[in-house]
Order: sequence, then structure tokens, then C-alpha cells
Amino acid sequence: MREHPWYTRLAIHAVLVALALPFCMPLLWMIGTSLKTPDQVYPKMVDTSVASFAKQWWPSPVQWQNYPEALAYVPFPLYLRNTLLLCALNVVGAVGASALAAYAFAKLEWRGRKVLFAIVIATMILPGEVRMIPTFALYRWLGWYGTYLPLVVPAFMGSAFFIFLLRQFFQTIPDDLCDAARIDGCSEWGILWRIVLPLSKPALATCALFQLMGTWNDFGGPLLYLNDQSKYTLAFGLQQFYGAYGGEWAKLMAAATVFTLPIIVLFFLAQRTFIQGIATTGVKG
Amino acid sequence: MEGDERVRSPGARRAVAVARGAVLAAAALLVAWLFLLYEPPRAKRYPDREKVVFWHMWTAKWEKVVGEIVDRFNASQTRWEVVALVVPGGSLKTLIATAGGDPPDVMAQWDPVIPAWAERGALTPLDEILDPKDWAYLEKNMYPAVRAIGTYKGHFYGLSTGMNIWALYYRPSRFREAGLDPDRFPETLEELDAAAAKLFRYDAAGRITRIGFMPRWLSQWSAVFGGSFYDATRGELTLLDPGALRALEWMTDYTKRYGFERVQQFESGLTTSMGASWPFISGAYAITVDGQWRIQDLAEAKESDYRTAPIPPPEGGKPLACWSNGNFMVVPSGAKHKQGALAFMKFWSGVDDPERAAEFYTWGGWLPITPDVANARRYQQYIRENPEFATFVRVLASPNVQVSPPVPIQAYLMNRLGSAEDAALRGTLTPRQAMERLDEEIRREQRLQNAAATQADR
Repeated sequence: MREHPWYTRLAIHAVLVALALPFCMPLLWMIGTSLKTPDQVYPKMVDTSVASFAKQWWPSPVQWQNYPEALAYVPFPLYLRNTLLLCALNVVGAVGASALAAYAFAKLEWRGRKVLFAIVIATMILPGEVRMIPTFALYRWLGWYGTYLPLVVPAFMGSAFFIFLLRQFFQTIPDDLCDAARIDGCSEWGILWRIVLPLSKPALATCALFQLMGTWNDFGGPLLYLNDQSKYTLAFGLQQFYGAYGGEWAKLMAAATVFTLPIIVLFFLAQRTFIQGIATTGVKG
Repeated sequence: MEGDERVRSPGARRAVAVARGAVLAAAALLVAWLFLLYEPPRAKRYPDREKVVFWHMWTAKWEKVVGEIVDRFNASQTRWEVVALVVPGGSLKTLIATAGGDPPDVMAQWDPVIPAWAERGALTPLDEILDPKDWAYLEKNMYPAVRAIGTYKGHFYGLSTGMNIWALYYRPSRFREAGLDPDRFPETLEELDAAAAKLFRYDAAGRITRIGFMPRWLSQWSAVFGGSFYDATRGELTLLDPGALRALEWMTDYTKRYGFERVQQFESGLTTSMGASWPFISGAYAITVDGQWRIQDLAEAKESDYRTAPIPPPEGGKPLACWSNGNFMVVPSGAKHKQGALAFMKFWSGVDDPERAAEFYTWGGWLPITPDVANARRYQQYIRENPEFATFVRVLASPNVQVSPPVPIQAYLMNRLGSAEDAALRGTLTPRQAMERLDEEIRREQRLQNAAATQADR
């Protein structure tokens, strides 16, 4: 591909930055607020001049101590550890179980396959709020209330969305490859492990990233099922900055910045895989 | 980082690889530290005692205060161990836990839960499980607002951990600037209206730069005008009460006089957050109505240019009146350690030792539930250190303090009341029309609730 002249590239980048700015504004506000004193969070008097408006976005003086204070405000390392543990288990469980189910739906012929797949997809229609109380009662009957099990075990049952996503992707892998392997005596498990999964890395990475973000941000699950503060997660812990009469906004934004940072770093590290997976599977948003 | 490799020079590719490696190495070190070396803080435990599970919604700086009270209780006796858990947004969790048969033993919540949960049978009536001596003491000594909020259909369900009272905050410097005497605060609402007019400030374009005074919250002003949304003798809502209507008409006059749009334009950039973000501290208001917890905000902001005063009544209104609410401890039905819960509640509220409990109330800047705590030495010392706090203690004891109607749809009612007030202030509806619409909405909601309850009983 011929490279554009520098002024063309500059112009393209300028337009892209201008378009990206509105999307970055919440992030910029979060970072700016995290460095403010409490009285700077909201301006003293409303002043509609542009200069005053721009001034509100950045703190003066900069309060770097908000960050160590925020991290000490709640047991941040403990919540981070708990969150990482849940994320790891959920990613392994959701991706592994969904891949197995998706392979069966995509590459194996068996009676009732289409009906069962339709039922799996139909489960996505049922809102979480409707399932809340019966699910709670089930976990309580199993003796799982107050443990991590309600937050981890369901991932190992597969996710309807990921099963659908991976099935679609597996169907793009030529059946001839699998047939050739079967002729050579490979088992179905071998075909999945040696042929299908290695060719499905973008889709698997997409599922892993979605599951990771879902577990990282999960508030409802820990709220309902955890009764021990030592098991709390980061998303749940952020709520502790917000008091009954109002919040420690600057510290909350500092904690939120630290909370968001790993996801941003991860996105940049795995950007190409992520975008490729979304493009290949047609997932949007 | 990942990207189109073809346009990168070898140097750039090396830099990206090094950066990626550094990030991964840092992440690996962090994970290794978290899982192998980190020791989380551990709370002191009493394994031989009966565990009393206490859920509360206190977060931020109040979480530490509550934690200290729990530690003091645990250290004061040998039978119970209260284990506190911060449960932000705890209403949903508590209802589901209660429905699932595993509720906490005691819970701190805002008062609207009392009629709503008591109606569903989710709360234990405290008058049935308290020692008769303790119940007799409470009946005789608790403040009227505490009794009113905690009582539902003849039973007492909640003990307050801290009542909220509203009064006026004003700036003496602004008074002097406007030629008013700050030592002689208006004693009637009519005088307050006249003072407010002198305290408004505008810029050259006529936009408001400071609000003298702007009344909000009809429930506050209804009490001041002698109105009431509930008739306790008949057990009925009275949303078309003449006092409440007069209050709304007076509030509407303010927005007509100063311009709803103009006021809204000014207020749109303000906030009611805690601490130094409070618009009174930032100078947006010369006089404002707010709760006793602002005394701590003002102390933190090192503000001394303020005084407090009870809301002055209009002619025919009620002195020392306001609307009140509070945080209440309740015992879910199905709780396994109700006596432990009661012991903790009595410890915190001062039923068994007002002098000891007085200290707890000063930590949070809270208002107590009985005069015995308010008159305790430690609490009186707090008032001497914060003299403006005395206004709130004085109003708390007033029989003219009103509370939200004790109906199961209280939260819905207060929400719709806000909408009715907004419609009247905007001029979309007249005050009477707004309240008539509200009355109709609430009656419809009550019919729906009654029908649902009847269906459930079958």
C-alpha cells in the first residue's frame, strides 16, 4: 500500500482525534476529577465562559495523593485478588464449556441438534431479574449462598451467547479438515483440540475478553451472593466510596481510574485479536 | 502494542515488544504478589459467641464509625458477636435473602422500608420481643418523630441510629452586606421572604449570581404551614390538606417572582453532594434549608461564616416544624438471633446506657432518639463545640416535626410528590391541580396494591 504524504496523514489523524474526543470525554473527566480537591469537583459559581468551562476539566492544584488514599480507603489489593480469581475461573469455564457445546452444535450430526440449539438461544430472552429469586433459592438449597460458587459454576455450564458466537465461527471452518482427521483416526476431542480450536483463536479471544469484562464489572452477583466482606470484588468495593449522604467523588474517580486501567491496557495488548474476533463473528457492541 | 506491523520500523517494533513485555512482566509480578505474598487485614473474631449478622448501608467515612461501634459492642459483652457487612443497595439483597430464608439478624436502612416491609411481613415487631421494661422506657422517652417513623399499624418496627432534622443555614456576612441584622433572624415566613429579596444578586445581564433563598421540598413546607399528608386518627392520606396546598402556593409564588427558568439555569450547575461541594459553602445561597449533617461539612471546609435557625412559620403555621426521616435498625422476620439484634440496637441507641451511646452519636454528627442521650454529658459537650447544632436538637424535640405517611407505598408517594411539586413550580399545573392529580395517582396505586395483596392472600 502506498504511504500517504505527511500532511495527508496529519489531516486524517486530526479529524480522527476530533471525532474521538467526545468519546474520550467521560474518561478525561474521570481522570481530571481523580486529581481534584473536593471543592473543585463542582465549580464554585456557574460561569458560562469557554475559558472557565475548560478550566473546570483540569485540577489546580493537582492532588496526586487521592490515588494512595483511595487505594487505602478500601482493601483494594484484597478486592483485586478476588476479582482476578473470579475472572480467571469464569474465563476458563465460559470459554471451555461454550467451545465444547459449540463444537457439538457446529460439527456433529445428532438428532435434536437444531431444536436444542434453538432452546439454548431462547434462554437469552429470559431477563436476569426474572431468574433472580428462583436462582437464589436454588443456590441456597445447594448450600452455595455466601460462597463464590454461584459466581463461578454457571460459567462452567456455558453461555448461550458464546455458544452461538463460537458455533457460527466453527461453521466457517471447512468440514473437509475434520473429515480428513476422522479418516486418519482422530477422535472428536482430538479434532476439537488440534484443529478447530487453534483455527478459532480470534473468536475464543473475543469470548474470553467479553467474559473477562463481564466478570470484572459484575456488581449484581457479588451483591446478592456474598456475605463476607473479605470476598468482595472491585466493582462492589467501588460502591463503598459512595456514602449515604453523598460521595468522596475525587477518591472514587481515582479508584475508578485504577479499576479501569487493566481493561484499557488489556485492550491495547490484544487489540488486533479483539477486533478480528468481532469482525469475524459479526459481534457488535 | 498490536497494530499494522507493515508500517513499523524495526526500532518501533522492538519498542512495542519491549513495552508489551514490560507490561506483562509487571502484571505477572502483581498477580504473584497478590496470590502468594499479600496478607489481607483480618478483623478480630470471637468464635465461641453467637453470631449476629448486621447489614448496613454505611459507606465512605461512616463505615469506619459503624465499625467502631460494632467493635465497642463486641468488647462490652461476652455472649454475642456482631459481624457487620456493608451492603450498598441493600434493600434488594435483604428482601431476596428474607424470601430465601436467610436474612441478616439486624439491618440498618432508611425509614421508607418500615411500612413497605412490615406490610409484607418481612419485619419483626420490636414491641413483641423487647423486654417490657425496655419497651416501657422507649414508649415514655423516645422523641415523637422516632415513634412516628418506627410505628406501623400499631406495632413498633424500627429503632433509629440517627434522626435527620432540617433547619435554615444562613450567612451573617451576606446579611450585613444587605443591611440585615444577622443576630435577629426572621421570626416569621413573611420576614424571611423580605430578607430573601434583599439577598438575591444578579449580573449585568439579569442572570442570578446568588440565590437569597429558594424553598424546595413540599414535605418540609407542608409541616411548617401546619399541613399534613396523613390523618393518624383515620389512618388515611390527606394529600389535599389545606396547609399543604397553602405551602405549595407559597413555593410557587417564589418561582413566579424570581423566574423558574432563571433559577433553574443557575441551579443546573450546582450539586447537593456532601463536603465542600455543597452549594451553600460555595456561596450559591445566602439562606438554605438543609440537615444537621451539614455542620460536619462546614467544619471540614473550615467555614465559620454561618448560623442556623429553625424554619420560621407563616401566620397560622407551626413553630419548630420540619419534615424528618432517619436511619433505622430493623429485625427481619426469620432472623435467627433476635435477642442479639436487640442487644446491639439497645447498645447503639442508648436504651441501656445513654451516656455511653452519646459518644457514638457525636462521631457521626447524628441526632439521638431520646432526650436522655441528648442531655448526656458527652453529647452536651459536642453541642458546646458545635453551637449551631443545638438548633437541630431543639427542633427534634418539637411535636410539630412531621414524618412521611406510614403507608406501604411511601417511597412511591414521596417520589410522585416531587413530581407534583415540580409541575406546580414550573407552572404546568396550578398547585391545586398538581395535588389533585397526585391524589388520584396515589389512590389508583393503593387500589392496585390492595388488589395484589388480596390476590396473594388467596
